[in-house]
Formats: sequence, C-alpha cells, structure tokens
Amino acid sequence: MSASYKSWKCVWELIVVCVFLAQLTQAQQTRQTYTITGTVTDAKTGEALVGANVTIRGTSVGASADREGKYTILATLSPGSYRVAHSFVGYKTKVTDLQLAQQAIVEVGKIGLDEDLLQIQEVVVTGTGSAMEKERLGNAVATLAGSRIADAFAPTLDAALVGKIAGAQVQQNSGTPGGGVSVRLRGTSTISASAEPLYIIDGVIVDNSSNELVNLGGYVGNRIADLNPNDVDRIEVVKGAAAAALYGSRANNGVIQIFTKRGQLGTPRVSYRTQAGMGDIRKTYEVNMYGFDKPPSDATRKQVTRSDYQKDIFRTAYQYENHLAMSGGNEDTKYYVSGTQTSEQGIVNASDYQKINFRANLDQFVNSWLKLAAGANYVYSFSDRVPNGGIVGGEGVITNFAFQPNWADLRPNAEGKYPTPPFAAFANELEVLDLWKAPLRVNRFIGSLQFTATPMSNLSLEYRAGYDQYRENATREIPVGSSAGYITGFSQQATKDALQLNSDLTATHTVMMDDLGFTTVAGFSHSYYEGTTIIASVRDLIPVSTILSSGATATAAEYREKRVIYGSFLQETVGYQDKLFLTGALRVDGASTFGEDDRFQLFPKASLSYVLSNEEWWGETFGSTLNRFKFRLAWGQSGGQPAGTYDRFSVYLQQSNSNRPGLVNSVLLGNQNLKPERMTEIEVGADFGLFNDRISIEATYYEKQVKDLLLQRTLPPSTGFSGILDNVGELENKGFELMIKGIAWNDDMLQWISSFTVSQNKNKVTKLNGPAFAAANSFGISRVAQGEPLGFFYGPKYLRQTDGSLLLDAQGRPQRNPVAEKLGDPNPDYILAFTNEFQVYKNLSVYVQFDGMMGQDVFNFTRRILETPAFGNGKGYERELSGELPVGYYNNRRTVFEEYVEDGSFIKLRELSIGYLMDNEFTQGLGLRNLQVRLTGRNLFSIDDYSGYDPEINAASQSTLVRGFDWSTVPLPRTWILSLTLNL
Amino acid sequence: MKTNNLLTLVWCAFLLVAAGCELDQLNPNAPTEAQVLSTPEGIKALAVGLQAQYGEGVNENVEVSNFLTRWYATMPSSVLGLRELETGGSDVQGFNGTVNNMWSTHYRTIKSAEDLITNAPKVTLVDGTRSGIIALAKLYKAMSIGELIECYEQVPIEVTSSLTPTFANRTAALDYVISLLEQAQQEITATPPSADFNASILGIGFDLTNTIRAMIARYALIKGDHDKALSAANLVDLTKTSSIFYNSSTSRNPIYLITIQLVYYRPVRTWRTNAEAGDGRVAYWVSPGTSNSFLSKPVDDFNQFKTDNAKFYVYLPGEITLIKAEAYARKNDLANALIELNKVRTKATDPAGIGAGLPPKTAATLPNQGAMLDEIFKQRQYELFITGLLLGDSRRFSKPQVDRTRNWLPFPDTERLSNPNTPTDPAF
Repeated sequence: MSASYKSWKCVWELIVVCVFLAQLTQAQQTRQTYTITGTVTDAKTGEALVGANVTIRGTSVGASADREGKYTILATLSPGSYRVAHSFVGYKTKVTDLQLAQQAIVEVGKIGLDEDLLQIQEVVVTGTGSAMEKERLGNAVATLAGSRIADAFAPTLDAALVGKIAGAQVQQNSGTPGGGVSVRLRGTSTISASAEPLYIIDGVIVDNSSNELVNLGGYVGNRIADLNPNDVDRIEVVKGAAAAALYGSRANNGVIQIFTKRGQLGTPRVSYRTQAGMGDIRKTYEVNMYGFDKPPSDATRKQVTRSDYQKDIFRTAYQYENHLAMSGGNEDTKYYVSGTQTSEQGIVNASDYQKINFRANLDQFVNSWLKLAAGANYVYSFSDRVPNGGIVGGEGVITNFAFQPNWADLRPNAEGKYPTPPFAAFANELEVLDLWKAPLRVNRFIGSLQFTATPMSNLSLEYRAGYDQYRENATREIPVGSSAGYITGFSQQATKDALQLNSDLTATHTVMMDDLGFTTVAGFSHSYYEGTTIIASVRDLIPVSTILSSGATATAAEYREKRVIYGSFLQETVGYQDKLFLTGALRVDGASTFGEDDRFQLFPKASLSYVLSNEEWWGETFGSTLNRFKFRLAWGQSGGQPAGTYDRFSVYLQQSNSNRPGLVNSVLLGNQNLKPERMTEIEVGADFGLFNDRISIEATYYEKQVKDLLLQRTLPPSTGFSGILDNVGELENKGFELMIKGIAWNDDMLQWISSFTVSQNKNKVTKLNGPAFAAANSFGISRVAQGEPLGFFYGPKYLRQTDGSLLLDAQGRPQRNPVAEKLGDPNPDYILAFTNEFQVYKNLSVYVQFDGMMGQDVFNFTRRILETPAFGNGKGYERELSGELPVGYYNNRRTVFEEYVEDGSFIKLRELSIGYLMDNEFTQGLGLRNLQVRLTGRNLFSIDDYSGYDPEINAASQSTLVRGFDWSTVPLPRTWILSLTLNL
Repeated sequence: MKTNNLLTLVWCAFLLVAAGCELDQLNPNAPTEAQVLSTPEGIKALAVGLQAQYGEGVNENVEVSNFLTRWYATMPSSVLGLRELETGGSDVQGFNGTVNNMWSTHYRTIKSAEDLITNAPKVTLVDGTRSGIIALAKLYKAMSIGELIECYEQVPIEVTSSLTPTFANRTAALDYVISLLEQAQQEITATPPSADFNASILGIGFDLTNTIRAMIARYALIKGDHDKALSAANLVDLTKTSSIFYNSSTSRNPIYLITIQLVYYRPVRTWRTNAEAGDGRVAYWVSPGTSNSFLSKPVDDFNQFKTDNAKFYVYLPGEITLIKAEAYARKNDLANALIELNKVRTKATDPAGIGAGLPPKTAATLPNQGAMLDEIFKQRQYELFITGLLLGDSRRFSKPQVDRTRNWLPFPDTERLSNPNTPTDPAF
C-alpha cells in the first residue's frame, strides 16, 4: 500500500465521519412524544389501502396502514408544523399539513389516495442512497412494474425489458432458450470491457457474466437468465452517472435494480400460475432447389436432388411453466415464498432449457426501531445446447445448413452412421443435432440480509450483506467416429465457480429548518469477487463413452481471480419547500484492479430539480393545462472497471529450454498506473403533466464523454514488449429520450393508457491513440476507428460507374473495389416503442406493444455463404445455375462485402396479451379470490426489409464491439403462451 | 448521548472490517515480475527461458541473410513477407513480417538478458551460478545485438530503462557487443560457473567459454579489429562445438518448421551448381532438387534441419579457422592466411560434421590480398551457408550491389509508430 493511498483514505474517512457526527450532535430542541393516527383509503372505492406508507417529512418517522387502513405513529418530535406524506404503490402520494403542539394525540383523519395510472409519483432508491420521490431527482430514472415483466412471458427477465425503458437498447441476441441478452443504456461506453449495466437485486450486486466456457460458435448466455421474472415486484433503471455515488467505478454502463416481491399485510395469499406455449420460426430462407449441381456451361454438370435442411433443423417448440407463490404477514412479520419450474424447448431441434427457481423473502420487525429483511434465491438450470453461429468454428447446425451443399444426402445409413459431408472440415448438421451434446448446468444461490435501524426520529442506518454464488458447468461431448471435424471424438468439461460478496452500510440523516430540508446520506461499501475456471478436454475417445476419462490425449487449464472494491460516499440533498432540490455527492472508490498509485478514485456528482409547478404563480398562469412542470439538470462522473483482473501486473510465462521449464516475460507489459475508464455525463430534462396529469411527458437530453478508455497501446518492440493496456482512448454518446404517456380513456367501462417512447443515441470514438483496428472474431468486418461509431462495418465495395451503377466485367459480373471503406453502422439511430393498455370493466385487459429500432445496419454473413457457389444453397444461386447469370457472378459478388450490409430497421409486434379476470360466484365456489386466463403472443410479426431470419440477432452474443452480425444465429421465435392463474 | 456513542462504535468497526480487505491482490495465474526478478528460482528460470527465446528465432537471421544475398527463393506456400525480402528494394517496407519479427524476437531476448544482468547480482545465488548466469546473459545479449546490427543500420543497445529506447550507430553497437563479451569472459574467468549452472541452466550442447571466445572473434573481425579477432579465435577449442538444443515437443527447431514442415522457401540451385567440383559441403547443406520456386527459379532441397529436434550450431569450427585466415589476409600476412584457408579446404570433416575435402590452394594461385580475400569469401559461402553470416560477408567483402536485394532492412513500423527515436530508413 503506497503512502499516498493510505493518506487519501485517512483524509476521506475523517471527512465522512466528521460531517456525520456534526449532524448528529447538533443542538436538539425540547421534544415531546406524540401519537399520530389516521386512515388511508382508495379515493375512488373507499377501500382500505393495507400497507400504505405514512411518513413525516424531514424525519425518519413513519408507519404503515393496517388491515383496516389505519395507522398509528409514535414519535418524539419538537413541536411545530410538519407535513405528512401518505403513499402507496400505484397511487399518487398525498401530503397533508400537521401541527404538533401541546396535545399528545393527533388525528390526521381519513386520507383518500388517487390511482397513479401513469406512474408519475414513484419513489425510487437506486443511485439515491435512500428512498426519494422522483420529483426530487435531478436525473431521469425509469421504473417498471413487475406485472409488466411477468405478463411479457419473455424468455428471460432482461429480454422482457425490450421496448419498456426509454434510452435502453435491449437486444435478445439469440433465440436459443437460456439467455443471451445485451442491454445498452445510453449507448456503449467502453471498448475493451463489458458494456452491460450493473445488475442489483434488492440491493445486492449480482453477476451477469457471459461465460463462454465451451465454444458453441459464438453463442453464449448471460447469467441474468437465472432470475425468475415472476418474482419481480418492480425495476428501476438508472442510465447515467447519477448512479455514481453508490456504484462509483462500476457505474459507467448504468444500473438496473430489481426489487423482488415481499409479503403484505393481511390474510395469506396463494397464487398458482400454470402456462403452456409454443414457438416457431417466423421466417426461413428460400433455398436453391435447382436440379443440377453446376451451370450449363460446365461439362461435368450432373443432375442432383436437393433438400431444404432447415426442415430438419427447426421445429415447433413447446414450453410450460408452473409457478406457485405464497405471501402474507402481520405488522411485525411478512413473508413471500415462491417456486417456479420451467421447461422450454428451443426452435432448433435438440435444444432445450429446464429451470427450477426457489425464493423466500422475509421482513421482520425486531423492535420498534430495528427491522430485518432477508432474501434467499436458489436456482438450478439445465440446458441442452446446440452449436450455432459461425463466429468461431464451423460446427454449428445452421452454419452447416449454409456450408454443406444441399445436394448432399446427409442422412445416416442403416447402422446409424452419418456420411461425411462435402466440406469435411466442417460437420454434418444432422449428426450434430443427433449425436453431439453440449449441456450446461447452473447452480446458483443469491442471498441477502438487511438491517434497518431508526434509532432516532431523523436518522436511519442500513446495513446490507449480499451473497451471490454460482457454479456453471458446460460440457461438450462428440463421440468417436464422428463424420467430420472430430473424427477421434472430443470431450470437454469447463466449470466456473464464482462468488461475490457485498456489504454496504448507509446512514441517512434528515433535518428540517423552516423551508429547508437537508438529507445527508453517507455510506461505505465493500465488494469481493472470487472466480475459478477449470477447463479440461480430451481427444481420442473410446467408442460409446464420451466422458473425460474415456479419452487419451488430455489438456487442462485453470484460471483464478480475485477482485476487491471498496468505496465510501457522502451525499447531501437540500430541498427548498417542495420546489427546489439540490443534490451533491462525492464517492471515493478503491479497487484491486487499479495501479497502486491510482488506487483511490474520486467521483463527484451534482444535480438540481426545480418543480416550477409548485410555485404559487404557476397555478394561476399555466395550471389549468400544464399542471405539472419540473426542470432537472444533473452532472456526474462515474467509472468503468478494466475487463481483466490483473492487467496491472507484468507476468512471466513458461518457455522451456533443454527440457527444463523456464520463464519469459509476457509481451504485454503490466500497467502500474491502471485507472478506471472515466465518464462525465451531463443530462438536462423536463417532466410535464398536462390536463391534470392526463398526459405525462418526460424529455431528457444527455451527453456522455468517456475518457481514459482502456485500450492496448503499442509499445516499441525494442522494449521487449508489444503493448500495454493503457487509459488512452476517448468516446462520446449523445442523445435524447422522450416518453409520452397518456390516459386516452378512463371511465367505468374502459381504461386505456397509451405510451410512446423514442430515443436516439449517437456514438463516436473521439480518440483512439493508435491505428484503427478490427474487433476480434468479426472476420475483420467490425471495426474501431477514430471519428467513427464503435463496431462500424468496414470492407470492400462494388466497383461502380460514375452514375453509381455497377461496373460489370466483360462477362457481366460485378467487380470488387479492393479498397476497403466504411460500409455501415450497427448502432440504431432511433429506438421506438408504442404500447397500449386496455382495461375493459374489471375483467378484460389487453396489452399491445410495438417496438423497434431504426437506421441500424446488419451484416448478413449467412446470405453471403448461402450464395457462395462452392456451397450454393441460397435461392439466388439458381439464377447462375440456370445460365441466367454469367458463371462466376456470385463468386465475384461474395468478395464485395458492401452487398451484405443490409438495413436492419424493424418494428415488431413484440407483445399482444389478452387477459380475462374472473371473480364471481363461480370462483368463490371454488374457494378462489379470483382466476385469470391470459393469452400472450411474442414477436408475432416484424415489419422490416431484412433478407435473413431476423435483423435483431447477433452472432457474437453480448460482445461489446461485434454488433449486428448475423451469421447462422438462431432467430427469435414467434411464441404463443396460454396461462391460467388461480389466486386464493 | 448513548445512541451516538453506539453509532460511532458501529461506524468505526465497519471501517476496520472494510479496511482489512486487501486491495493488493496478487495474480495467482502467472509469476509476476517482482516474483521472478527477486527470487533465486525466478532468476534461474529466466536464464533458462532466455536461451529458449533466442533459440526460437534463429531462422529469422538466416532468412534475412540468405534472401538478401539471393540464395533463397520462396515457394508458393510462403508468406508474402519473405517474398518481399526475395525481390527486395522498395518491396521491403516497415510493415514486412520478417523485419518486425526479427526485431521483436531479438529484443525479447535482450530484455530478458538485461533483466538478468541487473537482477542476478541482487539475488542470493551460489557465486558460480551467479557468474554463469551473468556471463550467459551478456553473451546472449551480445549475440542478439550483433545479429541485429548486421541487418539494421542502427539499433538500441540498452532497452529496459526506457519505453522509448535510443539508437546506437554501428560502431557504438559493435564496440558494445565486444565489451559485453569481454565482460562475460572476465565473469567466468574470475568465478567459474557452478556445477548447478552447468547441469540445470546452461543449454544442453552449449559451450559457454568457447562461444564467448568465438563471438569475440566474429564481432572483432566484423568491426575490423583483426588482432583481437585473431587472438580470440586462437583461444577457441576447435574440437568442441556449441549448439542450441531442440526437442520434438516444447522447443522445436524453427528452421525445420519453416523449411521442411511449411516449405516456405528452398535454396537457389545455382548455389550448388556454382560450387567447386568435389566440395563435400554442398551435400551437407542441400540435396539436388527438381522444382522451381514461386518466381520460377530452379531450387534444391534442404539437407539440414530435417527433424524438429535438429540442433543449431551457434558457430561452426570452420568459421573460426576462416576468421583467422581473413584476419591474417587483411593484415596482409598471406602465408598464414593460406595455411588457415587450406585447413578449411582440406578437412574431410570436423566436430560439426562439415568437410570440404578439396585440394589445398597454393600461394601461386592466390598471389595477392585481393585473390586471397575472394577465396576466403567463397569458402565462407559454402562453409557457413545456413548461419546468418552471408549478408554481412557480402557487404564486408565489398561485393557488387547486384548480389544483394537490399543492404539493410528498414526499421519496423511497430517501432517507428511508438518510438520517436527511430532513425530514417536506409535508402537500400
């Protein structure tokens, strides 16, 4: 530990402790004990709102409503005037004045709350340190109700977010069940590390790695797939540097916090849901069915019979799920327990996914000032996977549909032996489907424990410990005698064990002084990650068996890593009346990944929220139409961790001489001054309410500048090194987000809520400090260059005449201009979503969601291979075979990459969901509270101009740089799911 | 206030717990620089690795030398970079693969050698082990710089102190090489290498003492210090050989991989057909072939390094004798030059298995210094065909430009782009 690091730490800790103690020890006025009572109800129906929250502003004092909607607050407070806030999830908060004087028992009365159909008045906690009304925030936070996730029937929790959060590009990269979703919040903010946001469940940071343990050609799932969408109560998404105070050097990609369901006051509730569904491929390629193998000019031409092997690859996939949840509680103890069992087939034959998920959440008041909350989640999943995607290797099933000429009969002989395909270096896809195995097993436990103490009326302390541990085990088993590629057989086992521990201590202190309110939040956090990956493989297998010990030639490797991040922060929010809120925060992060002299990194933030509509003059001027108007401004810095754990070390590798083990230095020099990538973001926005909040608008513009991007900088080879990972690059993301929500109709018969979101992000690398380079595993097509967006497509174009038409050669074939140029951009110009929610009477509900992306390009490598004459499976090649096009037409064309860059813009009918709720004599007769039947369709159709399966997929999965790359990837299936929910 | 005290206590306890978590995590996956350079095991392992680094690049020096002197021709399977060396001139640019690889592999060896020279004295080692390691490191550094300065006009000679090393000119580099070698010699003279060094660090088949002497002779001759060359050559025990060890698994002979396994190039047939009739060395190096190269030159097959564990001699006994002959000749002592020359011409074989078996020359047939040097040059061409010395010879014996496709390599782009000290490229 260097001296500067120690002194930094000491100074910082001293500041935090001093500020905190100063607040604690301020002069206390004479206090008196009061009993404050009241009732909270639904303003429309008059029903009690069981569990509604009542708090006295400027204090930590509060209570929740009991089964009759009644509450009682016992508080020791100084006499004076206070404001009491009554809030309940899904309702608008109502604030009333409260005068505390001599009288010890104060009755607030009956408070009726209105439904908050547009989620205007939500309370958020992510990135704020303590619960805070959206109104007070200077930055945009997107929120999403759990029911929207559960009713989406998406394959994974993250896939359910698509189209539901403005400014988020959510992309399901593959139709393979078991995950593979990438989320970009306000663009990509890194080049060499993961661009996925930080995921937090009930305050616990969870692992979302995409571990490519075995090579499946590019496909890899991400670990958010382990979570159960049914358990989600709500989601908060913080897109920018506003999360800096809490997550410092890990906040560059934004934060997604998931809150799971918790028990509620009242009689126990049991909910059982069973669902069954089917999925199929939306669109397949038209294949070459021409009766000859070669063009007429070729003397060796012979008659052939062709097949469409897509029929053997794709199928109608079935799925089912059973979910049972039980919840309840009393004033002191609340619980939520659930279990879910899922079984899902993939639309590619032989692929499937099974998952068992168990969760228990407990909330317990230990005494009047101490509350304990615990959560436990266990997941086991098993999936049969099929290699696909030709980014790495040529063993994929769809890959070989493209590569193996379809005049070949690939079916097995009478003994069950598959023939060697025409391209013997690759595989026979029918054999891969039938005999090759690539199962994945995941065991995961996520636990959390939280203590919340309110030892004084204006102080709360929260300690939270989180534990996330999983074992992911992947195998590949290829029996001996395989027709191609692995003739001697191959068996591989790869296991990753990961453990992440988090602990956070946060203290919140509030002070009211006349019109000013101060909220101080200070905290410490510690995070520890430990991972071990072991990979063993053998070749030369004995017949029949495919386990590791059946092989002869073995190799094994192990990789271990440990990471420690340690942070502390101090945040102050000052509120003036209910109008103006200023927040400033500082966070200091230390991480084991940074160089010793750069250990401690400071991340500041500041924000302003000005609710103009709370000014008295507003009501008189605009109040009747523009009833709500808030201006917000936020500035902040955050960091990004390096991808590697040990990049700061110069290491030595084995190189033997004279049969003795020796060591030589790695050509990568360790960087002793490694720092986080640093993002500075400014966002400015406004929130509007029109016609008494019938229409709600949120608009935000942002600019993010990322400096100190980690890139490999070339070193002079005369130093004995080739490069060093260094903080040298810069990039920017600029864009806007607009959300318009409105109540189109609202009466006793029909409630219709409509929402439209659009967002734009422009990404540009502003400094590369070196030559442009091609991203790994993109065949040189995806590229990074100064002045260009990340991962733009690059390659040769057509030779053209001056009028732009193709310059054909003497035979009438297109020609390639060998000079490589920019061909396209995989980043969308706009992301759109349009949703409509209808509620007819109490019983019928309909949800329709269209969403899409506009302006992004997709590189269709699949079509390139399909029409390459050597393989020739595409419909287009028929024209050359028939003599309509000159011989060599497609062979010339396949070298022109411009041809395969297609417009990937699409609008999909993402969700159509129709539900019917029954709660009448019939359900009562069955002993049920109610019963719901719901039919949901996903990805029903797509409006696009794309020639391949699906413009949405990406062969490189969650890769940061290789985006929009279609190369034999499983498309998203069109699914229909019917569910029945019994509530008792 | 009681709660306040309690809170302060909790707060402090948390600080202690959190502060106890170590931010200085070590990398468990590979030894780090600090671990290698400050421990006896690390230093010894680096000395082993140093020799492997040198050994994996011996082909590059030979390729530059023999393509630039037109004795090698690429086959269709070759990489483009070698073909650029073959055609030479402006075809060889800073991005050329060999230009870059030769540079970077040699500097990896030099970097390891410098680390050993700096750190071996600081680590607890048996005296003889330390002296052996330092001498070995100085020798390998000298050999690497020596090979570079025969291909590039200027080269950095001290590299670990800066991330942008400065360049030394040819004279300074040669002086530096010779002084390194003399220091190595003094090191082992003062403290003979330990048994542990000889048995577990020094490469199998490598003769440290004689190699240092041979290299002093080689580079003194190149520098033009003929007395020093002669005295060092006289000290070399010609009954010994010194070679790089290869095996069939972890360290395979790179010349085998490229010439036999990959067949990137073959020797030009005129090398064989121009030889003096009856020269036994022709069959040692090549066997007659029938194929043509990619650029349609008739080529032969290689007859050396035909297995992946074939050893590579760092110097040949014949080179030492020819150094003596050349040194005498350049001092105009033609009588002694003839004696040494004829030793090479007439030997039927030697410890390396090379023998010309030719009749001796007489003083009458080599009447003057020019004729003598011409004959020595020719003997070097046949005695030392695959040793990487032919390019330097061609320049030193002032052969016409047409004999070479280039005189010097350009500096690698990778160096130029990141090191502002890189000099301008030589014209040819």
